[in-house]
Amino acid sequence: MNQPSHSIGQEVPPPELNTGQVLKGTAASPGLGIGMAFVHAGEDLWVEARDIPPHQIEAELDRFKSAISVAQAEVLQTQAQAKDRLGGTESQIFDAHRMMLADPQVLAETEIHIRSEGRNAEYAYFVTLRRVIDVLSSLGDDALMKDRAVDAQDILARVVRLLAGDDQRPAVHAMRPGTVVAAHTLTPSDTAEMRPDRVVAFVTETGGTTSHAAIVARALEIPAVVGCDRATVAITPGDTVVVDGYLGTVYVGPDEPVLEWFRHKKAAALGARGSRRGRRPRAITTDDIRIGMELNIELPAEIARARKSGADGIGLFRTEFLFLSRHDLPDEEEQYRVYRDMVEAFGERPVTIRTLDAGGDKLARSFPAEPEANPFLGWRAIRISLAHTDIFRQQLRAVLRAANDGNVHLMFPMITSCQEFSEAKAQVELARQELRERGINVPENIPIGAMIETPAAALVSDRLARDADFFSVGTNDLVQYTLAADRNNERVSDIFDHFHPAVLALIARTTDSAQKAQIPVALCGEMAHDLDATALLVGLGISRLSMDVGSLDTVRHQIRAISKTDANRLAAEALEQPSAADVRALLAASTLTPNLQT
Amino acid sequence: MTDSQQKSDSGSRSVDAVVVVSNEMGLHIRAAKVLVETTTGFSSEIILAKDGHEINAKSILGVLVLAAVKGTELTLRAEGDDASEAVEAVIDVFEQGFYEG
Repeated sequence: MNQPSHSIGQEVPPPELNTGQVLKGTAASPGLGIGMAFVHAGEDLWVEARDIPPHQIEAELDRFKSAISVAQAEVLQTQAQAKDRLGGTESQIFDAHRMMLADPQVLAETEIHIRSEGRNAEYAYFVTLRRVIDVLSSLGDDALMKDRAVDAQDILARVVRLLAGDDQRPAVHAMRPGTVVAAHTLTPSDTAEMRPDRVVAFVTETGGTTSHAAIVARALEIPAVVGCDRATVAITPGDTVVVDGYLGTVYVGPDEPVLEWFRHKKAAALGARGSRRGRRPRAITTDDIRIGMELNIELPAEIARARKSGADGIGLFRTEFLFLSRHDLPDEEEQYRVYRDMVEAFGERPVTIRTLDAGGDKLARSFPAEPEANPFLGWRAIRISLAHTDIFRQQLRAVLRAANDGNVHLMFPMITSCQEFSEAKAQVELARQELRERGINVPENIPIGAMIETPAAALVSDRLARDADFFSVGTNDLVQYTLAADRNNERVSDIFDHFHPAVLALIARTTDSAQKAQIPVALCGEMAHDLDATALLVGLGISRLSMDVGSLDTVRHQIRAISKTDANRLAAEALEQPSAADVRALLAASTLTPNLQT
Repeated sequence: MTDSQQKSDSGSRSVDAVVVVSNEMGLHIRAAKVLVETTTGFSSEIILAKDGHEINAKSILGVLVLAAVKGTELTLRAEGDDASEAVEAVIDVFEQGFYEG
């Protein structure tokens, strides 16, 4: 599902050219990215490659040696503390860690690298140890050896942290323009740190087309290949890499003629996209039903492109980036400026701001949160906001102030009951009073909506509709919670399917409730840009679709080809199907979903 | 140890031998640790090789990368002033099965 339907980019370089090492993964965001690799070292670590001038080489070697000594002292201390709890056998793991730190071969190779290449210690150590980890993790079925790869990864992380400091932001900020990011996994805090104008592509070892890396890549309109096994091992920092986001292929260190071949293809693809954007008809069905085309926005850096996109508004403005991977929490003023910039850029068009939607573990480091066994069933989103009403109202005040500058809509994530929704609304009223006491007047009524992303919310949507000004269906979470399948877990990701009739029934229930209360329903998950789903969603009564910039034109085009009457019939039939596979078969047979036809 | 031999090149201070991994677990972390603790005590350079792939026997990660399971035959070479003693000591820990179990 979600395969881009571009005909462009469906070719591979001619076989006579030397393409370097070729890795296969899943195409998650279309386009071609050509650049220098920046490798995520795991555990939130980034390794910056810096040139060390000749006269500073000795100092760099000293810095390296003292980091190794400190690391050994740290391990020794941990070992002493753990001795009472651990038996002798477990304690031996720490001996092994210390021996790995003292490994003369690794130390010698790192020093040679620093000396001969004139590179910084953390980079040299990373490259040296990464090669060893590569071999260890490739040792067939030997689970014991794979555990040693984990041990080596541990000491790598420890030493890099000592050398680069706890705060990994400088490394990320040192990213040069034209960077291809290769990582095992990319978390929201990782992507929040990146300079989007410097990243030309993502490659991750885990995840599917709905993983965080894939979503961000589509939002930034950069190509991405996910589920690309062993990518961080095959790719060394500094390698020239081509990422083919059409076919899910990654080329490591290809020859210049191959690079040239891809540059040509890329220019052709950009040209085609430019001409497609020439004129922008509205998203109206053949029987004159208008569907709102809105954008999902993840980062302030997207404002400029979003404004030029011709979207009808922002259907989902995520605010997590403000809170992630930093040591403190953003204050009201900082938040206000971000919201205001977005709202002003959109003028009359609505900007739907979603309050903080993150797990406690993802928040600022100063935030008191414990790791949880089941984070997706735990303390997150509106639950955190309602538990920390001071932080929540700070955000609400910033949102309300921004409402003076444009057309602000507000929505709450992960609602499971009417009580939660009315408690959240009461906080909005309190925030308004607080502002009034400070002499700041804000609009008396801004539209406030509930996100429908739990089965519970869909099932009580008739009662929620009494209090809500709109609904916004978040399909990613709704599918996950309905089908009890984590979309990032490759073993169960095939169960994660937004065409499952149970998911469709919950959406239908939501739109029914909304229709009776005469409020609109938006949909802002991955399903919104799936061209196979467009007719179905129109038929189910969704009135606004919110997606990444890159998908607007194709979905708009799709809507113009269907009639609401036919779509209604299709939706009614889909709701009767026993399984997702049957729904797909139905869609494939329908003239309303040209993509699934062969 | 089924097939170990020691031959000394007089004058060059280089000693060669063949050792066989005899313990059940093979050269896993604990065995590698015992081996490296042994080799680290000598000033000679000590090289182990499997199928022509040579590693520094004082490097725990190098030893692990050999991934030598029970029955694997390795060539051993020591170069330096205490080469003979080093080779003897290494043969001994291999024969003792790295004091496993």
